[in-house]
Amino acid sequence: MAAEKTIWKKLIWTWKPESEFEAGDSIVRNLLLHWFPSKITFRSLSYRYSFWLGTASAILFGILTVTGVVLMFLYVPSVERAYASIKDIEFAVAFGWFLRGLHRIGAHLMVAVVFLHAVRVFLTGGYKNGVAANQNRPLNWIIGVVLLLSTLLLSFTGYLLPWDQLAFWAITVGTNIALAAPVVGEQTRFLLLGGNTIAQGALIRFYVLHCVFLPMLVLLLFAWHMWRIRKDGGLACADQLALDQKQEKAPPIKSKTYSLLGIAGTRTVHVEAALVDEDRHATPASPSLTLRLLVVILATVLLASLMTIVVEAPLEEPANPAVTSNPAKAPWYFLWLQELVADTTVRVGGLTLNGALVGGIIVPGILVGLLLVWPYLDRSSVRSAGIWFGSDRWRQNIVFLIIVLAILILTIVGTYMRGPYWGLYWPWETWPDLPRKF
Amino acid sequence: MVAKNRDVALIYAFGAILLLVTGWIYWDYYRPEWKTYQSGFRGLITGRFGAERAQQIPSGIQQIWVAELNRVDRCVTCHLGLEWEGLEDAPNPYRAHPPGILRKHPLAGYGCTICHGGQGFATDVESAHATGALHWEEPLLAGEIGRANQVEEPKALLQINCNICHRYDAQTEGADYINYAKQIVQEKRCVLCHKVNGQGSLLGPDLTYVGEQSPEHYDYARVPGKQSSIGWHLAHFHNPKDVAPQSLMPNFNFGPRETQALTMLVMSWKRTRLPSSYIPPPKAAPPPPAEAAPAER
Repeated sequence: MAAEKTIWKKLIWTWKPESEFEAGDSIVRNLLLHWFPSKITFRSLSYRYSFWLGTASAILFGILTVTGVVLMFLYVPSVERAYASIKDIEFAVAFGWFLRGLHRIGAHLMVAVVFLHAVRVFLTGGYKNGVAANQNRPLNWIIGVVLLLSTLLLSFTGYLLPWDQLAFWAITVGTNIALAAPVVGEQTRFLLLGGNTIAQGALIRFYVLHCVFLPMLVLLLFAWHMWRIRKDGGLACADQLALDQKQEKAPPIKSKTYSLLGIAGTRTVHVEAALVDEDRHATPASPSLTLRLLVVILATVLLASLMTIVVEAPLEEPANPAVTSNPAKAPWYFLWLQELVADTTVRVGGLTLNGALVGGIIVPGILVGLLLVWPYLDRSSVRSAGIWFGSDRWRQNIVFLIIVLAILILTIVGTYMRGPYWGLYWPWETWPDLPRKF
Repeated sequence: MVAKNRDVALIYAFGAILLLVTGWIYWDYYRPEWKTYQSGFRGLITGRFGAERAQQIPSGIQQIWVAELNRVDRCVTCHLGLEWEGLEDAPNPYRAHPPGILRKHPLAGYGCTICHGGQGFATDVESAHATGALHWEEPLLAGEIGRANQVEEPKALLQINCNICHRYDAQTEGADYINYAKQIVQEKRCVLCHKVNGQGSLLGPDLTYVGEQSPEHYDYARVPGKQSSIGWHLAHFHNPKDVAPQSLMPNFNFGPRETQALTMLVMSWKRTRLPSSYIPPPKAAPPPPAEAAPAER
């Protein structure tokens, strides 16, 4: 009986730390887990606070890295072979359709999830410093904004690689918007395309940016982002616990010192964090955080896999500069910009107001600029840090939500309601069939 | 503790679903459509020629890679009997190809799609024949496309692709519709109004590469039925003023055969990048038609 129990235990591989020290030690000693805290607050663990969107985007980046590296063995970044190699991946490579589909869906999901993560952080005031010393959450917010922009660029550079009509004309629209930037527009487009036309020069640039430069940048920024979260004492919601404790006038708890790297050269590296009564509010990261992490990993992989099976990855005709696809659309996450460009192009008599400048450069430029400096403009109290819809942040939250809603509406209009010849169609209207050769 | 137990339950649930998804992907991989056709072919060969011959049949995805034409044709994954003697009467996709034309156009040097159209990359019937596919412009030129466009002789549409290499032939063996159209072009003296291959007048449009014009180039307001380039040409040759009231082109009262032949001819006039070895040498007699300008070579 005992032997059976042992075999069963071996099979299910359970591990139960016998003390909190053992639980914390298991985190610090583990290469993959060492950057986690040894204890974590229940609030930080909850789904309702963060929806685990940041973790999900990191997992999606992992999926994209793994599928992307395999795709690099199969894809040929040349104008002559790119399209054919994608066709081969679709039809002749074992599980190729799934590999490409997962990479594509993963990229779309990552754009959406990173955006939602930014929305969450804004609405919870997660970029605000709390009570612990040496916090610099505004800096981490800026790193996050750069990560969001890098994610968009990563997806955009990958969009060209199949070298089909969809890719070619989406990049045409995207880079033509860049052309509208004053003074540097033409040079920016030239630099991006390696010439004046979308040809081999552009393909190889986008390929290197997509496969080497941007992933490295995201990886570095991700490491910095995570490091700062630890330095800032975890998620901002933990600071609220410390503030609550102060109000409760609870007996003072022992000052805690968190050892990040253990003892090095007889000196301890200190990280000061929010002073939270860990006995009441926190739990050992192993197994609470590790289990929850596994749930989020599995859920993300499952969602991406199911979507890959359900949503077919399109591959249109080979890129043809002589035939414009109808309608020519930017990737969906830039369609709100394309819609803005179309709506702000005004013709009065012989004069044309350039929509690309207003919708493509000025509006997004102002929005990104505001995002970057907002933590320094936000003067709300520390009580609004790490709390959903903080009471003295309601004005900024409403304005932010209106902007988010406008972006979403414009994206939906651009994606689902703009048909052939950029005509506006209601969702219940069918788009006219485009003529075909045969 | 409750949360921990819930997480463990979720891990088992998601893990189990992921296993099922993985299982489905494997199941899908091991049961492609072409395997059914390959086992059907094996059965046919066993029945007709015995098990020993059936063992010679290759399995897995088959393809013809023609480097000169930059084409890969995987049609032979299902159409396994193309070069087998004794399968002339077999049902498709196993029927043998008429051997005469294969002697001049060996499979290894030409593949399939250069003549028949369709998507050579594909390994499933719908994508390969591409008759309903949204994103492939060269469908299998056979009955289905012909019937959809209401042409007189659907199977003859294949000859459009003969004329891609044989454009400068006065007459091409086996391409009766194209030959007939070339004869009409001479008889009606189309070059009096149209420029073709650098020769002729510019009263009408230059037709040298009219076959590669985008389908959206045409005005379908007065074209009955399906909107397609081929449909526009068919209606236009039937009576030009029905389609374009401003047209100067006279009505030649062409019947269905003439209409189809001329439509096929103009649709074959495309820019093509073919190695010179694929272009048949010019014949001394009869003299080439006016459209065959040497400058075009």
